[in-house]
Formats: sequence, structure tokens, C-alpha cells
Amino acid sequence: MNKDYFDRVYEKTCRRLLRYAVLHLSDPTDAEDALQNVYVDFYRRIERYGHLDILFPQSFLQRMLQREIARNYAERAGRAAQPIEVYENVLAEDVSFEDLALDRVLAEQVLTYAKALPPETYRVFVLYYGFEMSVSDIAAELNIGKEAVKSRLFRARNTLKNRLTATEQRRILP
Amino acid sequence: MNEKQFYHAALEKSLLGGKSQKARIDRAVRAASSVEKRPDGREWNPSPIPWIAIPVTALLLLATLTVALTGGFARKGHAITQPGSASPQPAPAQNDGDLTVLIENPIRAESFTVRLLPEFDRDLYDECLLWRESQGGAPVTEQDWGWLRDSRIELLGVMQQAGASDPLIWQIRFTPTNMQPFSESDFSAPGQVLEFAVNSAQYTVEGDKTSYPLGGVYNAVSFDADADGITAAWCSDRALPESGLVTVTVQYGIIDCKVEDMQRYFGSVAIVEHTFTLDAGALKGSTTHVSVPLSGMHWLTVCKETHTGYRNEQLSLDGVVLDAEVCRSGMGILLTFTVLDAPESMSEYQRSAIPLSLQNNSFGEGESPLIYVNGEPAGRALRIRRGYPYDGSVPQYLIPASSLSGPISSLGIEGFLNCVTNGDLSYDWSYDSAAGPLSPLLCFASEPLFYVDLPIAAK
Repeated sequence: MNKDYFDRVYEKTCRRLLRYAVLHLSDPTDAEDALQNVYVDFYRRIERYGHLDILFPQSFLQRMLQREIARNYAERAGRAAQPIEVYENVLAEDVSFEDLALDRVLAEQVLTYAKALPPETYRVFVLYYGFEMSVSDIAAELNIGKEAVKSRLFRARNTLKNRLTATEQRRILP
Repeated sequence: MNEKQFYHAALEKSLLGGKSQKARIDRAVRAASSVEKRPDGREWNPSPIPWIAIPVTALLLLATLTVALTGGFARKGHAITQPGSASPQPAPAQNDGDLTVLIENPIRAESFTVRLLPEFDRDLYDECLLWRESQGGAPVTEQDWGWLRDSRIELLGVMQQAGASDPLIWQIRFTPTNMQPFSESDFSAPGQVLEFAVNSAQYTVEGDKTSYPLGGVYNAVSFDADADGITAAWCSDRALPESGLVTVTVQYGIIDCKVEDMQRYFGSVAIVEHTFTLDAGALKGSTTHVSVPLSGMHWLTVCKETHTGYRNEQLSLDGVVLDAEVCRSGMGILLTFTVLDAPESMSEYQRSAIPLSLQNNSFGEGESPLIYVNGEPAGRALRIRRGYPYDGSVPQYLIPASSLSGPISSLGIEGFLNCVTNGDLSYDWSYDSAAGPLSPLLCFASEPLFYVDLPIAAK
């Protein structure tokens, strides 16, 4: 019963909450971790006290996420910056997107490559391609210039293309 | 498929719509819903008290009903008047105890510090300052905010209910002495310009350097320039160990609401760190139960069975019996309401709406129970704030020890039902409706729902 309710609420809310987390947490793993913590706490809560007093699950979870993000900031303040792996442009050849068969494995591969981008670049990539936000909206939400958004998108595309090209070459030429 | 479509589809299949994210959360949920461990390695077992209390309370209820059928609802020292027809003035009760003698106060030491934004840890300072500037906030200067240094925080009490797994509750009084006037915010509700929010809470046990988190305390109380302070009670989602000297540290943020900050964090202008040491063995209160029969037609806010919204329903509460758990401690008297019995005709959703409506819930300021001491009004009971995600789950009120000084011959409370409304009592809201849940809502409080005399003597 609680699990059914949880699954329904998850389906209805996860996309919006993830967008909110990505907008407010620059580190991709932090955004996903925050979302996970929120849903785990939410499940724990409905296991313990039920859910019939939660009239607005979306608002309820949103408030929880806001606190989780604040907690993340507090923890982040006390930890050293993580080294970020940056892929250099090593291949000049462009991948042909027309020819790529996008199965789940490749989709996960794209996500893995994207997560390896610098956090701010990854964030813009997900907001632009995943949530289909415009460059202007992203600039406004992140409080940065449109040129900064465009340059991050350019960097993301360039890096991912090179990574995908290398992957495709490995597939064709083992 | 062009490049944009490709990346969109890839993210849809992985991050957004893929099963891996949900599978990861499901794994975490399964792990969390298995047995939780206490810091000392023991399991968090449900308190055995309710299982003992239920048959005992049922017997008491049977006795009460027998008395009621044969001669009205009054019984020795525990007069329960019929709701609806209840007089706000309680009938004189027999003096059978002295409430001034409560459980020993377990507090052994207490201290606090106040830091203004420029004194925050460097990274936090940078984050808050950058955000403040981006939102057009003026710098936090000693001249504008130095008065906060003269603020005082005082622990009014701390308690843990009788069960071993019952959470820690503490009550504080925050007094911003020498408060300087500050302008009203467009962002917050009228008059509410500062918020006092719990940032974190943790405890250590004497002889153990480990710091254990106290979760579920994140909540905020607003105050304005006219306020002479805040009195609030918070409830964590964890119990302290059953014995030993325990030091609890709670960090509160004072948030400037002029800075738009949905996280209630970046707008921090000051941090108050409050530390208190207590004897965990002296925390437990003594608990008794009182049955509260309800009757009459009342409006309740009920969750729809489809979970797609809620609506207000006018329901007969005839046959509904509440259990008021009365827990006495050095902090005062903690009242926890649960529905003990309800007619079979009532759906699970209607039954669950009763505890929700008993609170002055977060949709608006409803009515907290009124306290009557010796038949005279003595203020309102203080709602316990559990913080997200637990707030709203259990209607819980504190009659502070400060309300219980002097000789007491009778003690009672008058309770209300609070339902959500936008001005129309038959309000019906669905998630698909155009008006969002955050559109202005009010809390409508019923006429007094019940009056109940509370036992004076500790059992």
C-alpha cells in the first residue's frame, strides 16, 4: 500500500524535483544523492506515520528537497573540492548522430560521459538537453550570462562527441 | 535524429526516464526500511507502551462509557463534557495532586554563541555572501545586525516520552533583545521578516567522541520587528540513549527573508549555536491516558481516496473517541492525540483526517488548544514542531511548565478542529486544477470540539 503510493508519487514528482536539484546543486552526484535522500526520508516517513495527512506530496517533497540542498551546502562547506576529470579533445572526427543506434547501453554511456564533465558544464548540459530549457532560461536560473551557457554547451558537445567517436571506433574496430 | 534529439533521448533513457535512477532509489528505500540501528548498535524497536496502553485504555474507556450510560460523563477528577455543548469553563475538579512537582529537570549545563555572517566559516560565508549579493541584499554589517549579538537563547525544557524509541523534544525561548527595526519583506508574509530555522542538531555521549545526528528537525519559525521573542518546541526523529551524560548541539540560522532563499539557508545573517548537557536517565516522563469522546457534525479536510487532492467533508463525529496521552516531565505536560476508536462507517481517509485537523496545521494559523488552570484561561498549548518530513503526522501539544506554576486544583484543555479552506468550507482541490495548492488558504477552526480535564497527579 505504502509502496504503491510511493511509486505513484515518485512517478509524478521525480522529474520536477530532479530539475530543481540540478538547478541548485552544481555537482551532478550531489543532485542525484539529494534526490535519493529525499525519497528515502519520504518513504521512511510514510512507513512510520502513513501518508494520509500529506495533502500536497509535491510541495511536501519540494520542502524536503530544499532542506536537503541546504544540508548539502553545509556539508560541502566543510569538505575539500574534488578533482574533476576533464576530457581533452583528442579526436577531430565527428560522430554521425544519424548512424548511432541509441539503445539503453549507449544512453547510459552518454550519461556516464556527461557526468565526467566539469560539474557546471554537466549541469547546463542536463538542463538544456534533458529538461529542454532555453539558453535564456538557464542563464536566468543560474544567474550567469547567456554566453557562459553557450560556451559550456559547446564544451559539453565537443567533449561528448569525441568520447562517442572513440566509443564507436572501438565498436567497429575492436 | 539530430544531435539535440540524440542527447535528449539519451538523457530520457538514462537520467530522467530510465529505470536505473528509480532502481537506485528503491535499493536505498529497501535498505532504509529494514531494521534501523541505534548508535549503540541496538535496534529501534517500537515502543511497547502503546501495546500495553491500548487494552488498558480500552478498559478505561469501557468503564467511562459505563459511567456515562449510568450517570453522565463526569468521573472523579476527570470530567469530560460532551463536545458541541461543552462549556469552556470546566466543572470544578477534585484537588488530587500538585502539578508544581514535576519530574526532575535533567539539564546540567547550557551555553550558546551568536555569530554574524562575516564570522561564518569561510566557504559558507562565500556562499551566503554571493547569494545575498545576487539577490540584491545589502552587506551584513555590524551596524545593521550587531543587535543580534545581544540575543539570548534559553532552554525551557527537554523531554523524551516514555517509550525507548520516542524522539527527543526540546523547547527554547529566543529573545532578540535590543532589536533594531528592520524593513518588511516582499518575499515573506506581511510582518514576517526574519526566520529562526534549525540548521542541524546532533549529540555526543560522555566518553564517546562520536557525534550522532538528530534528524527531522528542519523547520522554521518566523518573527517580526514587533515580536518580543520566539517560544518554540522541536522534535527530532531520534531518541537519546537511555542513560549517560549527553551533550546536544543545535545550530539555528537566523534568516533574512528579504533575501529570496527557498532553502532557508543562503539568507542567513547569523548562526546561533546552542549546546546543552543533560542526564539522559532523567529524561523520561510519566505517562497516563485520557479518553476523549467526540460528537456532532464537523468539517474535516480529507485526502481523496485517489490521492489526487483533498476536499472538505462535513462528517458526524459521533462514536469517535480520541486518546490523549498525557506525559508529565520537567518541561511541562506533553499531549499526544490519536484516534482510539471510530465508527466502521468511517473510511480510513476520514479517520486519518481527524489527527490532521486537530492541529493548527501548516496551511494557516488554526486554533491550538486552550489551557484552563483552575477554571481560568491560561494561554494556548504550544504545538510541537517535528520538522519535515514528520511535521503534521502526529498532533502533539505542550502545556509548558511555566503555565503550571502555583497551586492547581484543576487543569483542562479545550480543543478545536481546523480545516483548510479558501473561504468556502466545501472546498475541493485536485492536483489537476488550475489553482495551485499554494494559493492563499485559510484555516477554519470549529467551535470548541471538546473540553477535557487532565489528571493532576502523576501516576
